[in-house]
Amino acid sequence: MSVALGQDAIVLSGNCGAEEAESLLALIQAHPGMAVDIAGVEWVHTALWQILIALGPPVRGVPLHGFIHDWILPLLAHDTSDRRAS
Amino acid sequence: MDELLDQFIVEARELVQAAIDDLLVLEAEPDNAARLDSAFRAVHTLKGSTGLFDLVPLHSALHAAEDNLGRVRSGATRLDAREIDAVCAVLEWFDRCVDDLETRGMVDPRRLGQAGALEEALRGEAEAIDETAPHALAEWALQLAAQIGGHAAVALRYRPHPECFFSGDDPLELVARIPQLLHLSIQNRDPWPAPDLFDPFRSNLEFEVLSAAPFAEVEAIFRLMPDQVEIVALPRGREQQAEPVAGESRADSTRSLRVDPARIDQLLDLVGELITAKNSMASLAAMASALPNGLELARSIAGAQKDLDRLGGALYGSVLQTRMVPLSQAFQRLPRMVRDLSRRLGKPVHLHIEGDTVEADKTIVDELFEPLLHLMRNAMDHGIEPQAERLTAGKPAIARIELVVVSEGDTMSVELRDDGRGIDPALVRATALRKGLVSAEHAATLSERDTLELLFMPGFSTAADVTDLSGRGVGLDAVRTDIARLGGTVSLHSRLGEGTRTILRLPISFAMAQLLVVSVGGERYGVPMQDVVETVRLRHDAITPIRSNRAFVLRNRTVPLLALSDLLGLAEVASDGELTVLVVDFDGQLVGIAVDGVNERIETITRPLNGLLRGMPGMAGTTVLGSGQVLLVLDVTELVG
Repeated sequence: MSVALGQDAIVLSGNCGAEEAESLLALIQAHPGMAVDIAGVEWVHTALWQILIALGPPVRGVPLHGFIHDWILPLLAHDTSDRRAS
Repeated sequence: MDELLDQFIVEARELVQAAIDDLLVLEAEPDNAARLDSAFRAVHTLKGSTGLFDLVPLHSALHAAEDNLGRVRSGATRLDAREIDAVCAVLEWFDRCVDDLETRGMVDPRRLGQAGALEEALRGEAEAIDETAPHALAEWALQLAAQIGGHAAVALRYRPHPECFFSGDDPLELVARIPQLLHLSIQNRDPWPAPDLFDPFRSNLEFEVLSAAPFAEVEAIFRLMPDQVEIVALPRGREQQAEPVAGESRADSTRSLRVDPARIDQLLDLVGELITAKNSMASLAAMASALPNGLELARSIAGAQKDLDRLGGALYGSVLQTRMVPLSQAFQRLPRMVRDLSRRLGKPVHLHIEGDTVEADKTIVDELFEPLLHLMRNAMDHGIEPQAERLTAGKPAIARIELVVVSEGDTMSVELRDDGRGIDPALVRATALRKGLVSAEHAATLSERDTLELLFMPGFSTAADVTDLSGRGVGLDAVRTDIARLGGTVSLHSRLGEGTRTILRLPISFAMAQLLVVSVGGERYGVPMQDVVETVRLRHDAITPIRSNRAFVLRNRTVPLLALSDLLGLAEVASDGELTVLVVDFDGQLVGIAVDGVNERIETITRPLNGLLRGMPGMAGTTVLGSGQVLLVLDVTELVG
């Protein structure tokens, strides 16, 4: 299972496909403000990134994938800070 | 008003003007990339500055205008007259919004309401363009590249289909495959829905990417979804050519210390007073020399006066220098106007401006606009022939109007030439006769040059000639009056069939002038010394009545005598003794003007009338006396004539 509810965070791990978008959405909606931990992911499908971008939960953890690290995380960090500001 | 808004207003005006100037140049030179960049940058900067305030419709209209220019910049479209019109319309509308902001701190809501129509005009064209050039180098790509810089070779905009997740696409996975990624941004295409309405399987994302990889490599990654991506090869060497220009709009180069002109005027008044105050040292020196052993003191005072003279003169020169502005400030609205008139009259015209970097005093430059406007309208309306007539006459279809400024030391000439039909002296004579301005005998004796002078007579251009453009009953006489007020002259030259030249000769600045202060009817006025040949004292019995007029004999010449009190409509102070008379030279004819008394000579600066006093007949301007009192300076020629 690559989308799961941990103790204080929603945890993504391994390879998260588009089919898991619904469960990620449901968990975020059920636990507003809870962080999403992506430290253990290999790849995350765009559908899930879209949820993180749109709903803006706090995202933590640094995955190994270079593209995610270099290009997606800065956007998320930027996006969440924007959301708080407004 | 807060400072930020003040600054915005000043800069916005400059940017609007810079952009419009650029667009007008572009209309004639569509390939002028520097001007295109400059216009684009100005609009872009304007758009950015509106973000500081809550001016959403302004921002959005400018954004649309920027898009249009961007498409031209990328080569997707040519800049045609319609496009220029649409962008100019936005800029002019924006200018009026800025006026609103300045006068009442907010934009008139009705004006804001016009934004939509302006944008539609821009968009209407934009859509048509998209159909013809679907894959052209896009504005967003250039803008993106300009923002990010670097050595990007390819820009890509990827809008995955909303249902793409169902077909197994993972857009970011494709993006991750792009080699040599330089930039990635992710935006939502539509606003995000409320969280409980969020559809996790519907893609609402849009990606913008810059890469240094070859075009073909990037294209290969997205070959299965050509309908969802725009891939643009960025021009090579772009950063060498475009960026230095793009980084600076023309308005930037004019940025300098801004000073309210009123402060400079205040300074100038003070300098004038200083110089007047200094004048009193001459009498101090005289008093000192009358004292026992006072000669040395008198010399010292005279020496100090000399120093003050020099410093005062230098100070005066420096302050005047700060008021010097290039004539381009008076000219900048002319190209817009000529373009507009050219359209309305259906007369294609090329306006050529030369020498507009010549500098003159701000008042002169400001006051020059209106007479120039009038002359320009005359040229367009009466001078330039309709196109068909030009072709029949073997002239180029596009008329040419030249505005040429030549600096001539302390003066300058501003010459307006057109290659129109010229002025027909016979027609001028006939018109003047019909209007009763000259008698038939007089008209018959007029030389060609004198005939043209008739055009300057008040009443030559009357309401009967009023056209939409150059009418309203204000003719060349108004031009001449305006120019004369600035200390200048107007002359007109014409060759029938070949064109007309109007030459304005103007001082570039207000020189220090010697004034004679005279009193009449209990009031004091200044009379320029240059107008006065001499002052004489006349006994009453030396005055000969000639019918209702009076005259006296001065060195065997009979000189008509007028009373300044009559000329000014003041009560004459009866004097039983002698009369003080100023003898003035009026076009070679001496005229005596009786005053109550001559008080003093002063050296001062005469400034043209403005505000309420403007247009007061017989007045050349004002000057401030050492006491702070304002003295009206007479225009003797106008008073007597």
